[in-house]
Amino acid sequence: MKKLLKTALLAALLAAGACAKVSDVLLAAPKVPLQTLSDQTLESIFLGTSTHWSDGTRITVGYVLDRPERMEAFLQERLGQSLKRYQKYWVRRVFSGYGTAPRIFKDAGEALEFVKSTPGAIIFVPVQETQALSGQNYTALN
Amino acid sequence: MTNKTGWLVLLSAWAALSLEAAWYDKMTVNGYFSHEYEKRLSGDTCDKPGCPDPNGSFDADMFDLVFNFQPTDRLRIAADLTWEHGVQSEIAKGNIASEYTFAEYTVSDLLRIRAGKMFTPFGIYNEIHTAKPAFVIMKEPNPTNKMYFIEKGDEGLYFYPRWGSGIAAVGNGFAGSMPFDYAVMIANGDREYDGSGDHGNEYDKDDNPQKGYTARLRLNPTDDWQVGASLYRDRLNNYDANDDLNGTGELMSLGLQSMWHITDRIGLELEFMTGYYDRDQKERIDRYGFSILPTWLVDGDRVTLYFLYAEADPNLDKSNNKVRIYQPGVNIEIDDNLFLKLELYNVRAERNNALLSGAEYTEFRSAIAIGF
Repeated sequence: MKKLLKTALLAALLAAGACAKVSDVLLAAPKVPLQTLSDQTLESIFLGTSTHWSDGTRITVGYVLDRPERMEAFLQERLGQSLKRYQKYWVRRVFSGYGTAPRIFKDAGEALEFVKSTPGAIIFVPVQETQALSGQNYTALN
Repeated sequence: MTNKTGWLVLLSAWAALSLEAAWYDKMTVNGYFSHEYEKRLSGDTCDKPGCPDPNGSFDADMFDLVFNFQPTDRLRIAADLTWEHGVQSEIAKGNIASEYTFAEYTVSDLLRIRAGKMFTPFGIYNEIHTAKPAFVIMKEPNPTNKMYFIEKGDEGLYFYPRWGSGIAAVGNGFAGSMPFDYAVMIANGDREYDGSGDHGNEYDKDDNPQKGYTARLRLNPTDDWQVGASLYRDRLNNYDANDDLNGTGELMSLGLQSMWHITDRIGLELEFMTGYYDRDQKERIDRYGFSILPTWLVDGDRVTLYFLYAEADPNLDKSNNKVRIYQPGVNIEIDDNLFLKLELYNVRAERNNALLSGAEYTEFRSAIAIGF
């Protein structure tokens, strides 16, 4: 119950402050080496062509889609493609047997819960209060 | 592997997963559904596979489930199970199939080893040819895939078999800063069918000691442009009309492909295949096929117009036997991953074409395709 309340509070904090500036972060499981990720590796991870961290843990990619325009901007900047094209890319990839699709989360709270229980997880999350991520393994993108 | 065995493998994998974690933590399920309607609008008809439908028919085309099991970090078991054409086993209708069922072990991004039944990794379409939500046109281009204009037996086989039972290596990396991916597969290969005999199941037992080899390399010179080349070679048994062994044939094919997102709205896809089929080392048949597909996303993110032009010459030594296909259409994404496809399929065959013998016809084709 305490855990549930804590998560709910965190999710509320992340979503709060309609006037606050939205920051995009990569939120990851505790042992994921976020600080040493190169642009090329990040691109490969989101394209599903890089599937394991250096310690052998499987990478699980995801993104929060409560602000699709943020994901669109992230994909345009990092992969040079629209969200629609990215989703079509993954439809082809999954059906042809080349991997599992990124997880899509409704909000940051759901993503937070997921990274806690999934070693190797890395998730794109737009947030309004990065302080709420204190203690989490994350890196700001803008 | 029989259907029963396939299900047993999946259930065993499921049980193994449940020993260490909740099964749903290490398994994903996706899939697709498609339903079609086709009717000949004008022109000639015939009664061979691929010929136009004068009556107008609904086709309960497909329900397909794609499973991914991840028992360990490096091991993945992938299965694509399909139910086609309103399958009903009691009256022997439709088709149930394992499109692929393989285990994949990841050594590194550069090397993933696979074993099982797989799609032959050749060209743009073969690995997605059943997944209608995965491409804009209604069906994969005929001249480079199903080849509904050759007489199997007389003019041989497709450029490559659609599936193979064997082992494969796939991987990806960077050549300098250019991303690439590759696939290499060794499989039992295809079998010849002359209609008079059953030469068994090539996913279970080969009828010859030679194997079928496939290789494909794709490069991405830019984020928006991918080029690739594929190669297939096999030597296979040739049977005569009495179903007696008649020697060894050879199948050799080369494919080239290009997919270009000129802008986020305009795309251009090109594919060319050529090669030969030497049925009994006496009469070699050289052939080619190609397709050109411009696409235009016209309205928001939902409506795509396209025009496919495809052409094939199934025997370069035979005059006037080419087939040309003109295929304008529209793909409307009604809801996320729910597509309505409408197109005209105009086929013009030259008079010496073995199957279509100069036929010309236009067919209306439509489909609902859903990915999930």
